[in-house]
Amino acid sequence: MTTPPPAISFDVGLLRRLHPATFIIEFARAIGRFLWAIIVVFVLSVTDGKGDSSEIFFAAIGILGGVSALVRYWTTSYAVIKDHLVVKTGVFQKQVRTIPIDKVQDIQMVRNLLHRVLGITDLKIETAAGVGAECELSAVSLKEADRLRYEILGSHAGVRERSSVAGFVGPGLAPIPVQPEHPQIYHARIGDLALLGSTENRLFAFIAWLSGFFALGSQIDIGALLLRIERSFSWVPFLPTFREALIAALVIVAMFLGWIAAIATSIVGYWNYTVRSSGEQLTRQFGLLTQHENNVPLRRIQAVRLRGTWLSLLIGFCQVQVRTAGSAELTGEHVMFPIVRKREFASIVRHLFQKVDFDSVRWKPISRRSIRRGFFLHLWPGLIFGALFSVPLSYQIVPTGSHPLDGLTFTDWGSTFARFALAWLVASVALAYARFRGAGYDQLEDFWICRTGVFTRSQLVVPLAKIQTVRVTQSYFQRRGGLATVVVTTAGSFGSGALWDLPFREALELADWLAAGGSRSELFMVDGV
Amino acid sequence: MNRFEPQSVPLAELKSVEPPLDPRFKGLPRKVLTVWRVSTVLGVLGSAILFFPLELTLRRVVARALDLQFLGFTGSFTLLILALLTPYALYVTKRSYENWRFLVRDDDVLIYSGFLSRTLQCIPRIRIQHVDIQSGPIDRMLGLTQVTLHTAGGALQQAKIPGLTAADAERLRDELLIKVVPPPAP
Repeated sequence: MTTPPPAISFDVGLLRRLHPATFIIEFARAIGRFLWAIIVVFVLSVTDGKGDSSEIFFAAIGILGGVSALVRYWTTSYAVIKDHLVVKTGVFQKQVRTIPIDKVQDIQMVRNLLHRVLGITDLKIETAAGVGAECELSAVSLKEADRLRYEILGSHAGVRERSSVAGFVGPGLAPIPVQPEHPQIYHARIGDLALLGSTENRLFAFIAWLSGFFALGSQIDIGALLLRIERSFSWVPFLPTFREALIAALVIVAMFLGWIAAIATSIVGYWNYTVRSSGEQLTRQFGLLTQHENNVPLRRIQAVRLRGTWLSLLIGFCQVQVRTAGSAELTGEHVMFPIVRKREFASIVRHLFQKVDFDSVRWKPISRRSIRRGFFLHLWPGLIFGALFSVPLSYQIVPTGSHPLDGLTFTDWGSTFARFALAWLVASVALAYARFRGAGYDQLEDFWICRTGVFTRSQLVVPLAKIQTVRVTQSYFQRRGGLATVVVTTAGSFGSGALWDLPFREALELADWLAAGGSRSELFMVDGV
Repeated sequence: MNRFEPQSVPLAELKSVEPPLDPRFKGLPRKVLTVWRVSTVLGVLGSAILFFPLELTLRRVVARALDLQFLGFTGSFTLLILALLTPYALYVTKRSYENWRFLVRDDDVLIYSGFLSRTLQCIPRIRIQHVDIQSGPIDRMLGLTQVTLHTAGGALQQAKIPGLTAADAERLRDELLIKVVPPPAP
C-alpha cells in the first residue's frame, strides 16, 4: 500500500503582496501597450483639431491602465512554503500556482530605468514547462527578490552586499546570511563589446549595399523611382553628377551610422557584463539602462552553442550561448559569454560540461551531394529576385515632355537580367560549396557536436543525456538525392539543432546513436530535463 | 499477441523506411483513412472562408481594371478552386495514410510520416513526460482513439498515433509509461 503524498496546505496569512510601486510599473506598462494608438490619436487630434474625442480616448486609456495596474497589485500574492513557490493571482478566475522549487530552471531579475529609480525589480521564475516565464513577480523590492532567490536557490544565489545589510526583512521571515561572493569567471571590457558590435553582419550588409550602389553607378539612373524623385526636386539647382554624389554620400553616412548604432547597442546592452560561477551555478549580470541579473544552474544547461559572424571568426572571436529549458527568450538560448576568443570555447564547454573531450573532435563531413542541392537552393530564389529587380533597372530616361514619366522607356530587361543571372550563378556555386564546407558533426563519448552556417557560423554541443527527440526528415529533392536532415531537440529548443544533407543511411545510423544516447538513464534527471 | 511488443531492431537494419516498408512497421487501420478523408473535405470546404472574400476583392479590381461585364456568378471562382483542390487534397491524404508507419522499439518509439517531405521521429521512451488519449467526434463514431506522446522538447515535438481501439490505446499507454526504467534517486 502506498501512502498519499503530503498535501501542500498553507496558511493564507503567509502570502505576501508585491511592492506598492508595482502600481507605477504596471501603469507604465499598460500605457506602453497602447503607445501606438496614443501616438496615432495624438497626431490625428493635432492635425484635424478633433480635441474632444481624443481627450475621451486618453482618459479611457488612463483609467483602463490604472484599473488594471491596481487589480494586478491587489490580486497577486506569493510565498515560498514547504519547498514550493505559491503564487495566487486573478480576479474572477482565481488561480493558485504551485511550483516545486527544485523544478525551477532559472531566475531572472530585469530592471529598467523606472525599476531602478524606484529601487525595485521584476523577478521571472522559470520551469521547463512551456515558453517564457511560468511566474513573473512584477514588481518586488530588491531585498525581497534576494530573499526569494536565496530561498529557492540557497547559497548558489550569490546574494550580494545590498541584502546582507537587510539582515531582517519582515515579520516571521529568516534573515539572509551573508554569502561569500562567487568567483568571477568572465568580464567583458568596453573594447570587447565594441568589437562585438562592429563585427555583426551589419557590416557585411554595408559592404554589399556599397558595392551594389557602385555597380548601379554605371547605369547613371537608378530607375523610375529615382527619376520621379529627381523630377519633383528639379527646382534644386544641383548638377546631376553632384546629386548622385550626394545620394552616394547619404547612403554611406546611413550605413556608417548603422554600424555605430550596432556598436552602441552592444555596449549599452551588455554593459559591465559579468559572469560568476559557484561551481554549480552561473550568475550573469549586465546592462547599462535595463539591468539583468540571471541565475542558470549548470545541470540545467541543455546545450551550448558557439556562434560567430564570418568577420568575427576571421579575427578569432565568437559568442557563446547556452540553452536552458523554458528560458525567457523565444529561441530558448541565452547569450552567456557575449564575446570570447575562439580558442577559449573548448575550455568554456569544459567548464559547463565537465566530461567533454574537445581535443578529440574530428569533423565528419556531410554528403558531397549537398553541394548540388545547395546550388539549386540558392539559385532559384536569387533568379526570381533578380528577374523582378531587373524591371526597375531597365528603364531608360529620354527626357521629352513636362510630365515626370514622359521620357520613361522600358528597354533591355533581358541584358540586365542576364548579367545578374551570370553573377548569381557564380555566387550560388560559391555559397553551395561554403555551405558544404561549413557543415559537419562528430560523435564524442557523451556528446554530439555539429557545426553549420556560412555567414553566421555556429557549433552546437549537445549532451546525449539531454536529448528529447530525434527526427530524420527528407524533403522531396533530398529523397531523390538520397539525402536526409537530422534534427535533435532538447528541452527549450525550438527547431534549432539540425544538420542537413547527410547520406540517408548515415543519417539513420546517427539518429539511432542519438536516440540511444537519449535513452540512457544514468545521467537522467528526475523531471526528465 | 500484443501488438505493441517492443522490437529490438537497429534503424539502419530496417529493410526500408520508405515504401515498400519494412514489415516490422505497423500501419494504420482502414478506418483512419475515412476519418482523415472527412476532415480533409471539411478543411477544404472551410478554406472557402478564405477564398470567397479574395474572390470578391478580385472581382472588384479585375472587373474595374479590364472593364469586364461578365465573370460568371458570384462564388464561381471559389467553387472552381474547391473543385480543383478537393481531389488533390484527397490524393495527398491517401498517400499520407499509406506512408504512415510506427514501431515500438526497446528504448524508443519510431513514427514515419509525410507525403512530399518525410519525417522519421524517434522518441526515447524514457523522455516521455505524459501520454494523452483522445478521440474526436468522427473518431468516436468509428470507435477510434488517438494517443499523443509529450516530451519536454516542446509543443512542436509531440508525436501522435491515431487509429487505435480504446483497449489498444490503453495497452500502448501502459506499455510506454509503466515499463520505463525508473530513474535513479537524486
